[in-house]
Amino acid sequence: MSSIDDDELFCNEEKQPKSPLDTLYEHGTLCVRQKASEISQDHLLYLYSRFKFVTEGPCNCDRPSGLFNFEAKKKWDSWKSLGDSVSKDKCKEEYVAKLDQVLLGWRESLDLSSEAEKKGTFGVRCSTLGQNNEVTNTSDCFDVCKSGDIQQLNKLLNSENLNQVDESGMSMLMWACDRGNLDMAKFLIEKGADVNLQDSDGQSCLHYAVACEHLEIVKLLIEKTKIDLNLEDSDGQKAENLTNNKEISNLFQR
Amino acid sequence: MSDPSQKEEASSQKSQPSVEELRRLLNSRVALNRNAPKTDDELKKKDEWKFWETQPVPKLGTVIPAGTNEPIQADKTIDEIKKEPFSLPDGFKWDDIDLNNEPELMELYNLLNENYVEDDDNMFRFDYSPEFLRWALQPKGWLKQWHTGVRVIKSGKLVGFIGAVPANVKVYDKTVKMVEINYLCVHKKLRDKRVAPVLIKEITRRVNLQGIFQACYTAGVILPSPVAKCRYWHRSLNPKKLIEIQFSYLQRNMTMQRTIKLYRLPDKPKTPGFRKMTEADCPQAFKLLYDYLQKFDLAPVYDEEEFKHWFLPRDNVVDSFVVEENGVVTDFGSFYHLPSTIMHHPQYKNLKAAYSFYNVVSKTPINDFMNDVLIAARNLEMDVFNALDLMDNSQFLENLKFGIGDGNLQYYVYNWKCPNIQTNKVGLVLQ
Repeated sequence: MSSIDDDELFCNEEKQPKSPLDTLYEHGTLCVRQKASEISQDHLLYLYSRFKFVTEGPCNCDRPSGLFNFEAKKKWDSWKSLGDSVSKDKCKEEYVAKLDQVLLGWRESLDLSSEAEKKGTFGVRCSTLGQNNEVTNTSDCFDVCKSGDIQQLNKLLNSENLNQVDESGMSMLMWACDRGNLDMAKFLIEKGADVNLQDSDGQSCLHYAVACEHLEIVKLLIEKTKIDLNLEDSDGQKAENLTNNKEISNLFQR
Repeated sequence: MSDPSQKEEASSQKSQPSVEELRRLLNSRVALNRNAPKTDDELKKKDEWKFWETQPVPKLGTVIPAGTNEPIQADKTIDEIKKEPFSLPDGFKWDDIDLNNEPELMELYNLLNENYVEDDDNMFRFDYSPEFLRWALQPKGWLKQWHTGVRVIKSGKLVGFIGAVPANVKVYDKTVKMVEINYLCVHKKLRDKRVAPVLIKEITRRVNLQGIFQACYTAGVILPSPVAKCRYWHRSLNPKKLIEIQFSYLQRNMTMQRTIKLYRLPDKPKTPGFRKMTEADCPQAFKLLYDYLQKFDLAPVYDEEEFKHWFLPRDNVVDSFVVEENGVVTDFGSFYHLPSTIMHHPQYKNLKAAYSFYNVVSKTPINDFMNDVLIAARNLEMDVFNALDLMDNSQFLENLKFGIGDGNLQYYVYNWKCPNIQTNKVGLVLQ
């Protein structure tokens, strides 16, 4: 019995993340072991041949001999029938597809996998509102501006679209000030974006930065640009009236 | 050590080839028996599978006929219960955690803080506070041996934990003395040692020794077999922070400015008589909740003492509110405080979340009352208010601008068979 200390315990190497196909396939092979009796002989042979190919590659051994070795011969035949040109991934795909036909509900138990401990086997779940699945259109300057990709925007930017506005009357600078992307705002200002444009509600980029309380951007606009602090939106509000944040209000007092 | 089942335990631990052995075999291309597991992950999956097959739980996919509502396995006699603890892998030992001893409480806090439940994208990890753990693990009837820890013998380091607390739970028409199982946690670096099944078997043994044979628990994952399925919903209270830490996101054509306006709440609750619950409110608030929970098919059955434990406000642990006018309590609501650590953010380290606990209204419209609860949570500087879609919650979720979360929470009752329970018939919220 060897003794274990923290060093030995804590030296497991990090594992490569598995592809979804590998995860499914491996789960499938476990299901087949458990539920072999529920699958017909023909289907089992089909699965066996794919499994064999994935683990050992093409069939290069001799056909089993002997009068009563039907079982082994059938297995060899099905393995051999795959030839040597298919890929292992193709075999895994076929294996998984076959299981979908012949073993109902096999995917449902997949959650029993090693993920279980990571997410805590018991207890409350750590849920979020999920991730943005929208795809950025890399040739649309507004999309690129919102995604924050300055390099890509630099390629698209020209004198025409610099101060262009979208359907809501917003310029790229307004979007950068709304999203709170300081580097993007700096970049657009350096390129000569107009800081005093107003959108269809009369809001300037400063209105957006103040309302969203992006302190650094408000500072940048007030201290480094010729922004007009008296611009009013359609409710007659100046930018400085859009916040209760003391630090931001102080910037207007100077 | 003469217990035969224990020997079996020990020998089955030994018979599995080690990870290193398997790797060596694979690398040298020695043909393995085709039934042998190929990787440590596969080994573990197979183990978990085998483990649940040995437990008194319904198999996945079984439909239980209406009217069935009973244990799967009869209660064991004291002689049928193993007297010795289950054996751990070499180098580890059992140790009960004394939550009233500050250093031990902090050990448990640190184990969970560093190794417990994470979201699907591994950005947030629950950060239960030490006071919260004491509250959750020490209701009436708690036992120290049900705060079961695992330590490394040599260093004494706490590397595993599982907790049980006693509870009376109504399942359909039967009230059953059970335990709630929670805080199963194994140190990240030990997850190949298959400690979790041993923790589950050991806590089951210790609970059985007290004459209890049922347990309820929740999990984000599907195990054999859920009795109900719920979903988390989230109400942004501090949308700017939630977006910056990627808890939520802005759609392409939505501005931050409009989002902030959309989720803005009044400064103060507006229902007359809405205030924090005090000890004096407890008899009436208890009665409200007790009567309300009768209508659910899975719900706790509290007495007044337990009600006080779970709902009297405790700073940074639990908050409860009532509407009271002329000495009459008409509405009751509560949430618990469960922050998360934000794992990779330069500015924010911590997400403050309120979790809806139990809410009952008898006079104020549910939307008005819950809006006041949201305001109260925002005034306690919560970033987000979370609620499951169970009980009558779906009446207010969409109206009050909750958004649907990214995963289900499954409910389980160990050693019990009954038909599945609809989400709006679930009246049980665990911590």
